[in-house]
Amino acid sequence: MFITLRHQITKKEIIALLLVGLFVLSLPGWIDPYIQNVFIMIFIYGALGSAWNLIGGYGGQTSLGHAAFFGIGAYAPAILVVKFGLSPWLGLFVGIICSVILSLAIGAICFRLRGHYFAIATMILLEVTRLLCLRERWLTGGGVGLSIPYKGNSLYWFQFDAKGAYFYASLVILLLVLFVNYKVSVSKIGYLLKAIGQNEDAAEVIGVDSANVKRNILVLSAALTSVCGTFWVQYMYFIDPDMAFSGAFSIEIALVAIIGGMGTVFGPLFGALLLRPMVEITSSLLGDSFAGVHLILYSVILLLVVIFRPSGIFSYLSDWYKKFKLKNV
Amino acid sequence: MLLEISEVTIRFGGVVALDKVSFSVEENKIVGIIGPNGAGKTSLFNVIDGIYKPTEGDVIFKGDNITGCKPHEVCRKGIARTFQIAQPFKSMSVLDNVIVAGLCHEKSVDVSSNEAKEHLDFCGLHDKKNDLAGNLPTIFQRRLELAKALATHPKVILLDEIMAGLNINECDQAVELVRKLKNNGITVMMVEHVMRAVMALSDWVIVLNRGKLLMEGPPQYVANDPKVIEAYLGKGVSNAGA
Repeated sequence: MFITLRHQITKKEIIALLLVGLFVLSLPGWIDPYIQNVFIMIFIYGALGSAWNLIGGYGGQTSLGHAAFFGIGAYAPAILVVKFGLSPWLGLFVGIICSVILSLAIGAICFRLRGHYFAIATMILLEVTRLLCLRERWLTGGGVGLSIPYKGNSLYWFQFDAKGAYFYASLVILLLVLFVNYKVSVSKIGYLLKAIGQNEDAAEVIGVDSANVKRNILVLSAALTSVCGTFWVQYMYFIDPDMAFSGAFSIEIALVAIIGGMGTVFGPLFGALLLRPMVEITSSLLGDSFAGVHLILYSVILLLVVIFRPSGIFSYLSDWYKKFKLKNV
Repeated sequence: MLLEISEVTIRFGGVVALDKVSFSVEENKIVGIIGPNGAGKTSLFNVIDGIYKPTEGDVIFKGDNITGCKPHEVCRKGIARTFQIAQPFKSMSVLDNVIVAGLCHEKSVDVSSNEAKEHLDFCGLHDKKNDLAGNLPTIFQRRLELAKALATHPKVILLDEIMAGLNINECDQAVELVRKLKNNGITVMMVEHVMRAVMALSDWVIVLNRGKLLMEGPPQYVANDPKVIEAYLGKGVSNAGA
């Protein structure tokens, strides 16, 4: 289930990737803005799932409170723009710093707990964050949320008229998170995390400071999740506590990684590729009469994956690809 | 003295697992630790290793008081340990298992990987390096435990019953391996029930019984002592060694 990606990339693979890359880059030029939005959702959920994957997949610690970092990442630029008239670029950094601080606190409290207890503790901390956000109306606007005023096409305010700009921005974020995943999987911390996930006590005895390693990966995961939150609020021009600090959203983030494939570089992206269009299609087809059908589908897919393919759906693709390469060498 | 155990006592509720145990270990010697089941041998290792914190007493290593240090700290200071029941990282390859151990003092995975291959060679696991650790037969899992311990660059290795369940040939091979450790400057403490190995290898023997240090001395001396024989050995054992 946990795969170290020590993979020698071939010339043919590079060419294939370049072609796919060029195709993706060209999309905003010719596809309908609604479809562009679907892609943006795929990229952002892919990025969120991949960021979660660092602590949940490689780290083996199921966090169900990751929306806390997302929410902070969203509220920071919103508060700075609305209350203080400061650029969301500053908000980006403030969001990251606050998320990192929260992640250190979560780590210090929750890493003493293992398995299910850790997951529950993260859910509780998320809820506490949500309630704090609701209460501190003077800062966050309370339950009404914050709307970001339109400042015109501007890089300084990170607002654009063309959807394509958001398409490319979210793609950049996705690529960043994927790159971090790749680096972790082949580096020292990746090996240590895998060992901790397999047998934490045995890892300790051979010199692995597991508390330190887990703390470091959570910080990384939190920072990247926060970046996604910042993008979100800039794209949506709006944030409220229910969206920012939602338990359901936390679970969706984890699901993307779990269904796609935890502990792999591309698993979560694949999960997003599968799940987001599914959500969009069911909402548009059945949204009027049967709102929330996608939630039923989430449950069914999750059950199927857990029973038949715990390593995630992406493993079907990667196994097929390995066989394909062996045949054609 | 490289390692000093000083008045170490550990109580679990009403049970006194170790009772004011004191002894010293000289550098580059092989110390055998014997005693009937429940004598406190594994508890002693757990205390040295940092897995248990003793109720009283101290563990002093190279002049440093390491009592109560966490296991990963103890490992980094130079004391490694193998477990009675091997604890490999089952879904990782044999090589990756040893790489992880090497990473405690090495930043680069590649450097650790090259070193890991040397340790695997030392333990006779060269051709198994890409096998999944969970699929290894028990005897090779034990060797993997040793390779992992070696990769942490220890001054002292605590071997917990590595001869258990081995046949005569396997036992002799294991004895050779332990001798190689000593030749490489490592100090070995071995908890053992297999007297053949204890007699063949030990420079010094510690006997524990019911948490107390019963006696200590050179293997022949200990083997012939009536108290020790009475506690656990039976007659004629003094002839079993090399």
